[in-house]
Formats: sequence, C-alpha cells, structure tokens
Amino acid sequence: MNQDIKVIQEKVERESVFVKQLTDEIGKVIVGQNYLVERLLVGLLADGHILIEGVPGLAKTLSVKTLSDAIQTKFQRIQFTPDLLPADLIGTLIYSPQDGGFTTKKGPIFANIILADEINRAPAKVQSALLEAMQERQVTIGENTFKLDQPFLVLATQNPIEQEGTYPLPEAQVDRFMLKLSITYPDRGEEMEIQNRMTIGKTYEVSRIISPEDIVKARRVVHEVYIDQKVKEYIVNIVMATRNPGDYGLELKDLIAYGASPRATIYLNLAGKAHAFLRGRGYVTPEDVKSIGMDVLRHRIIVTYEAEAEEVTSEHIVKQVFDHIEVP
Amino acid sequence: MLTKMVSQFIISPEMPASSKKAVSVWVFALFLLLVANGQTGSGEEEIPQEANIELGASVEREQFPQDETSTLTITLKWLGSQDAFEVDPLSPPRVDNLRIVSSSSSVETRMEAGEQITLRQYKFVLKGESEGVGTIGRVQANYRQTQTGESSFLETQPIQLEVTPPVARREFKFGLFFLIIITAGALGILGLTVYRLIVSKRERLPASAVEALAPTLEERLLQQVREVESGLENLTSEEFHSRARSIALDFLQEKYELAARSSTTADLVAEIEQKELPQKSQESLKKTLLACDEARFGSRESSQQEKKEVLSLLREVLEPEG
Repeated sequence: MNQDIKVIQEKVERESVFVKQLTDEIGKVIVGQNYLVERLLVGLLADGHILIEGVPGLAKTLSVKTLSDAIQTKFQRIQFTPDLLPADLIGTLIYSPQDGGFTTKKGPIFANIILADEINRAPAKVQSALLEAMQERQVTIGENTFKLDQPFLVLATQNPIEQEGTYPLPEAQVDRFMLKLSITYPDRGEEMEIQNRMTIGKTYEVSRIISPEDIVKARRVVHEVYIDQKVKEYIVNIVMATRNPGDYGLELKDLIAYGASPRATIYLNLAGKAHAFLRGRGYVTPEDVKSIGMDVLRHRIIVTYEAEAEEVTSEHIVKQVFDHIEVP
Repeated sequence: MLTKMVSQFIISPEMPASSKKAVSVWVFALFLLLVANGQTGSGEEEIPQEANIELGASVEREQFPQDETSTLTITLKWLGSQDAFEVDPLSPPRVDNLRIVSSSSSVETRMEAGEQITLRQYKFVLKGESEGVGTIGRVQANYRQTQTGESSFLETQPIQLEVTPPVARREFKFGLFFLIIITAGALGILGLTVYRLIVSKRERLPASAVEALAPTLEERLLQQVREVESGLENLTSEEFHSRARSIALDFLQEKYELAARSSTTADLVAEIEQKELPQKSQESLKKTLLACDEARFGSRESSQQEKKEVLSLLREVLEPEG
C-alpha cells in the first residue's frame, strides 16, 4: 500500500474505534434503526445536515437525542409550528432598561445538534433562517454575527403523510441537506424487542463515549480518507447519468426534470469517505458510494409530471442509475 | 322501285286513271305489309326485322377444324326495356354436319345514344362432324309485343360453315410444352432442396465439431489465469488486480448470469451466497474480490506472493475439484 494511504489507514483504524462503542451505546436505547444511526454518524462525520422522513413513532427524535447524549453535546429540539418566528429560532436583541442598551438573547440554534422537528410546518421565513444558518454556520442577530459551535448538525424531520397546512421545503433548500433518509418500520423481531424494553418502566442511561472535540478530530481524518480516481469517476458518472441519462444508455430522459446538482458530487465523495471511515477503511470503495448514494441523491432529482403520472419516484431513478452504471 | 315494277305488271293501259291510282296505292300498302311481316327477303345476310326489334345471327369462325368448335350467336335486339317484348324459348337451329355441344342465353339492357336497348343472346357451340360443309338452318324467334299484344316472329337465314381437317396436334404440343416446364420446375426444386440439404449439412458439421472442441467457460478463464501468471512480473499491482477481478466477474456473469459489471463487491458477495456454489469456491471468490478492491481502491502494492495467492484463489473457483 502507498505509504500515505497506509498512514491514513492507521489513523482511520485508530480514530474510528469509537464508532463501535458509540453504536453499541445507542443500541442500549434504540432498538434496530441501524440504518438511521449509521447515517446520523455519516452526517456527523462528514459535516452534513440530514433530513429525516418517516411516519411518527419511529424513534427519530429518540435516536437523535441518544446520539447527542453519547457525544455529550448540547442538543436542542425545536418543534416547528406555523406561528414560529425566525427570532424564536436564532435569537433576538432585548432592550435592557437598566443601561438603556440591547443585549443579545441567543436562540435555540446555538447548540451542537439541532432537531428541527416537522420542519415543513413552519413558514418559509423560519425555514430560510434555519437553512441560512446551516449553510453559513453563523447567525447574525442585530449587528452581531455569531459563529456556531462545532460540531453543528441539523437533523430535520418531516412527516410524509400529513401534508395539509404544511410549507414544503423548496428544492433549493432541500438540496442543502447532505442526506435525506427515509425511515421505515422496524421488523418483527425488533418490534418484539421494543415491546420488551419499553414496557418495564426502566429508563436507559447513555454514557458519554466521545467529546465534540473528538468528533472534530475524526472529521479531519475523514477528509483525509483516500478516494481513488476510479471512484471519483464513478461518482461523476452517476451524477452525470442523472442529468444526461441517454449518454449512459438509460431511457430516463422523459422522467427526469432536473438531475443532481454539483452538491451531489461533493456529498457523494464526503459521505463515501465517512462511510469508509465507519467501516474502519482508509480508502473509499464503490460500495461506500453505492451504499450512501440513495440518501444523497433521492432529494436531488426532480422528476417530471410524466414520471409522477407513472408513479415513478426519484428513488426508482436512482436505483436504475446505480444498477446500470458500471462499477470500476 | 319494286312497287313500281309490280304496279306496271298489274295495271293495263286501258284502265281508267282513277283505277290506276287505286291499284298503285294497294300495291304500296301490300308492300308495306310484307315489310312489316319481315318477308322482304332483302339479301342473304340481312336479318328480318321490324321497326323496333331485330334478329341477327353470326358465327365465331366460318372455317374451323373438325376437332375444334365455332360459336353461333343469335341476337335479338329491341328498343326499350326487357318487358317490351315477350320472346318464346328459342329452339336450337337445325344443323347439318355439325353438332351442338352446348348452348347458353343471356339478357342485357344498356343505353345507346340516350336510348334503352335490350339484347337477348343465344349461343350455340358447334363442332364439325366431318370434313366438308356444315349448315346451320334458319332460326325462328317468336315474340309478342307487350304493349299491343301483337305476336310475330323473326327468322334468320341459313349459314354455311366449312369444317376443315382436325389439327389437335397443336394442343398436344402445348401440353407437352407445359409438361416440360412443370418437369423442369420440379427437377429444379428437387435439385435446390438437395443442394441446401448438402450445404446445411456441411455447415452444421464444422459447427458441431467446433462446439465439441470449444473450451468451456472455466477452461477459457483458466487460460486467462495462465496468461496473467506468465506475465506476472510485468504487471503493476493495479493491472494485475484489474485482470484478476475481470476474470472473477466474467465467471459470475456468464456462469450465474449476474449483472457483475454494475455490482459492487458487497452486492456480489451477497449474490454469491444465494447461488449453488461450493463453500470453498464462495470463500475464494469473496477473498479474490476483496483483495482486488483493496489493491485497486486502496492503492495497495501487492507482493508477487500475494498475487500468486489471488491466482490460486481463482483456480480454486475455476477448478473446484483440483
């Protein structure tokens, strides 16, 4: 192995030790949902925000809270409602009668892990305030700009079945999430385990496994993970196939209105690295890209009316692309 | 002219002028009556006719061989619709040295110069009895005018035909010609069929022979393994593992019809476990693919020994029984 990659491999092996401990700790509270937990870690390590879609009661909030507890970070849950104001989120200036000046009251966004629950229930101006903070990683209140603490991870949820009275996120804003997860029900065995654990009046405590500083350090290692030119080309082929499917022998042109943006390329690379890190590998394989591909791409492909009429979703398209593009 | 001659024959010079005139009128009236009854006898080819009904007779050939036929056509033609006249069934003509082979009749109504014309035709196919003259006797057509109820008849003149010696050899020649053509065609088809059978047999033979001698998938891939092995020292780690992976993918693709080229190693490992593959072969394939991934994506430089181990794993897959 190349000397540099060997060094990276050793670093990854050393720094990724916490991964198993962390997942085991989370597993004390959360039954199943390995996919969700792994993707949360991908987002955490790749510094990408996550949009979680799933019906109520699938332990979305509990998973995020447990992760936060295991990292010993500041966690804030914000319930998005139609009457929420941007100031409720980012903070505001408060007049102080004693000295006649204004003091800054920071909002709940000043935390390491934010759970924006039911993000599509708040009006566009609140969504914009949150999404701006996600992008810039800083917040301006009055004349003062405040950098947000690292790690800063926004986990937004939305319910796919109740759309009345909601404000669907515009495509441009959805694109800012690195991953969009689709959470499904636990299987029969997991359901039984949930029943056994949650009906005996016992609360589970989660130990602190790593610090926010460890996460920042791990992120640096993730960025160093080696990604070969062949894998980079594989990523580009996948993204380009969503834009020009005909060039890759795919008959999807009439079904895709807009293909994936360059953010998809960036996030496939970063998420692929984070996925490799979680596997204790210092290099990215096509498997890492394919594993994470659906979560990176499903919200970045806009389907046509024709596709909607035929009940073809972006997930069908992503699957076809991955099934068709040659793996290096 | 005729009436004048008749009048001169009847009238004497001593007759008074008034009597002469009366006789002339009577002769003319008699002439008209004769014309109306079709008894004018105006030439052999002429058809007796009334003012608005005609009878005609014609033959297809006036001279024909004894073994051939000629058709006599009797035509009744009148102005107006079919109902204008009622025509009695026509009796066949009396023939001499001829024989009526068959007969038919037809009625046709058509427009000519803005007037409706009805044609009733009777056809008699005649054959000569012997060489010489054949005669067709008169044909009488009895009719009744529907509007007035007046009945009358028309009659054709006798027709003479010449029956010549038979020339049936010509027909025979045609038959022979067709016989030759059919025979030639049949022989051609037969020849072509035989030729195609021979050619296809020739084509099949080498194909089956090649098939029998063609190497199996495993043999073909083992040959590739040997080629890689022979050039091992000249191949970079990347090149070696790419070729090794390609051999493994070809095996999975052709043997198990997997979409190996668009599958990742993890996909293939999962698929392999579902296939009826010996456990040892499964393990060897997994190890091969993982070793190739590590070398190709992790930029790992493999030693010659490691490369040989990969080739050995491939051999285990391709030669499961050693």
